Amino acid sequence: MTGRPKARRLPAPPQLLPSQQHSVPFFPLVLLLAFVLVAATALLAAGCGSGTATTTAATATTVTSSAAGPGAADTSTTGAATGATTPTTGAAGQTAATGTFPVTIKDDDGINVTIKAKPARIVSTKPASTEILFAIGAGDRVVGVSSLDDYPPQVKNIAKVGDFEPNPEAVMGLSPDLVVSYSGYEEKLQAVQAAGAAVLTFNPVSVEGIFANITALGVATGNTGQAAALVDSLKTQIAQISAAAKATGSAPEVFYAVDNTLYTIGPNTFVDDLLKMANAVNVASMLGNNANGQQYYQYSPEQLVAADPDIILLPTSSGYKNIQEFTKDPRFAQMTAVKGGQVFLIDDTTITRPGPRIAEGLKILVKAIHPDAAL
Amino acid sequence: MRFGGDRRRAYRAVMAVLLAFLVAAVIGSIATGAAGLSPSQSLAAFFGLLRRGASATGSYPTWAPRLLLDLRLPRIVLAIVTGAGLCTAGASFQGTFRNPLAEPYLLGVSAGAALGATIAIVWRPLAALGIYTLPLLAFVGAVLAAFLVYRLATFGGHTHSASLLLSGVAVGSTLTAILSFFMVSTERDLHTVVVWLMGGLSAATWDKVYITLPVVATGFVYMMLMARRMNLLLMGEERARELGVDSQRTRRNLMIVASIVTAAAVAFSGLIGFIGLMVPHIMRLLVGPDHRRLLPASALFGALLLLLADTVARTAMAPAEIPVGIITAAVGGPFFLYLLRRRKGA
Repeated sequence: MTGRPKARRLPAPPQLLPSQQHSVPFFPLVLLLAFVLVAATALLAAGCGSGTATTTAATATTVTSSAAGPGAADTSTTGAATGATTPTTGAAGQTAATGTFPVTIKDDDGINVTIKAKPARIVSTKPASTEILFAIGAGDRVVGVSSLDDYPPQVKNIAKVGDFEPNPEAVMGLSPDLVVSYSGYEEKLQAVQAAGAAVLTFNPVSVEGIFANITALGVATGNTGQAAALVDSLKTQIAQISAAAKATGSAPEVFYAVDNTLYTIGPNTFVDDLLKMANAVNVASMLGNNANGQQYYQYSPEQLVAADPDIILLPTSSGYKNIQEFTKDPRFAQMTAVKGGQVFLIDDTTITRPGPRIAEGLKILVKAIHPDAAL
Repeated sequence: MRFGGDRRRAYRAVMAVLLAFLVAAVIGSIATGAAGLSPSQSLAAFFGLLRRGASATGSYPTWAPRLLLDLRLPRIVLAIVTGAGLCTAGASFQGTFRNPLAEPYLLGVSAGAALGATIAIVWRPLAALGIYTLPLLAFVGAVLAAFLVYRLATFGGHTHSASLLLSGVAVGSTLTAILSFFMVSTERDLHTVVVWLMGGLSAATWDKVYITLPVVATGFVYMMLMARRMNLLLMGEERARELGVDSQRTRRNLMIVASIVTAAAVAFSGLIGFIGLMVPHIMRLLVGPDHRRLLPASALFGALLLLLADTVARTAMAPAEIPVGIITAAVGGPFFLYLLRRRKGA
């Protein structure tokens, strides 16, 4: 190691010695550094603070510029003239099956996003949104998806643009005019937005929220009629399944494992909503401290044994490969669900994906919880 | 003669080679990426961008110049600035404290930055300050940690490098424990925290360059002005004092400046480990311990190394990204050991 070199290797002849009198002023320098940092930050924060507020305007202008690009064929007569002052109508106000543009949609991050013309090239980095797009007949316009997408089968042949996190370069390389993403990636997608794409984020926390997403995507793609039909059909199916579950007359307590460390879902999640519709009580929703909107809870083994739920659900994505991993655990041997054979491994692909197959997910839950329900 | 002629020639050769490699790496980095652009298209778009701005057109898609301007170029520049910042800070820490292990991690500075960043992510009310909350808190955390470690290691006006490292490790562990507590007590932000801790430049924008670059550059100038004093400190506190250096003050000032530079470097890129420790050592083997050469050489090599690592990070598994810290450590560790063994064997 040379971190402690021998003195003879040092250059520094005496006449070059810095003297105390000529010492480099330190504190002025620190002040300068601090000033540079604070000033730069303040300037940029001011610039960006208005960024969120002006998203609508930014999107509006950039979509205008993209109308001159390859997607121009799809641009209707809504040219630049109507641009700057697009009236802000919520998704609900646009549910008429006309599919006229421009439209303004408030997404799950509370951002008002204006889409100026019917999108021709859509990138979806969220599997649930991809499924919705295909289910409402906009699948042929999807040009990019995430590597986690696996349904419908056509997505295999669509370009991949990242996993949970969209890769902005890959997204931009597809020159989309609409990007649908998970919440929280607006900053990463800034450049994509600047290049002319509208960015919508969805993060539903209830089944109603899933319906709202479907409706919003219908408005965003111009396929409002198909979206409304899908919502109606889902509502009917869910009502039927839910009624069958209610008819069994029992509402057992259920523990739903998110992973194999007893992490579980609380209220404020659509899975909790599904459990209610399946006529079951999520034990974690009884904890009561959900004022801060907490969505997930870490249970301890003691807590679980004390709660002693009637049924334990082990979704395939939790990491449990078979029920023995749970039932053979000596800590849980005395639990009602273990002794009564009420521990089930369930395929949760359709349960944990807030998309158009959510009714199938509900059916899987009901079959596990109420095997006697008339489905 | 001020310098050995061999050393001067070696220094010039090393700097020339590093500069050539850096230019080549920048060109290579501009040419590659996750978007469906061929290297020749990328370079054509780059020259179009230089000549006619983002609206340039040519034998490439219309969006290509915009993509280079908004995504690839800020990332390249941020990698260079961050790499240079981490490595000059590392060289100053090692030189000032005459300890080969002195670097932001061991001195608790990185842990301070990490805790600040985690608080910024987890504590929602702070988000009202915008996307610069995180770097600001990382910055505050790093500087506070540096001050704390320094105070704890100072007895009767003397700071010994052994006690400095020990208090750095102790403060670092404590801060890391607090950080871990935040991590287990938040579910919704866990992913964000973990991604930040692993380090990466994927969120690079020009705004971030504008904040990082002035701080790193000013810090570098200060370190260069102090380079001769750092040389004297290497001879030992006693001799430095005889030669008129207030070693206590010099050390404190350099530690604070190096911490500020470290904070600016990690604030936007997360914790990128190992290069700040390794690069100054490698450069010391090549150009010698004189900080007037060591600092520029470390800056250049650090910039080159991080740029190369980041280019691999964003292209090797595209569209997915590899955290850049994994690459710097995986490549740097063995290479450093090789140099060390070879030198000992010679």
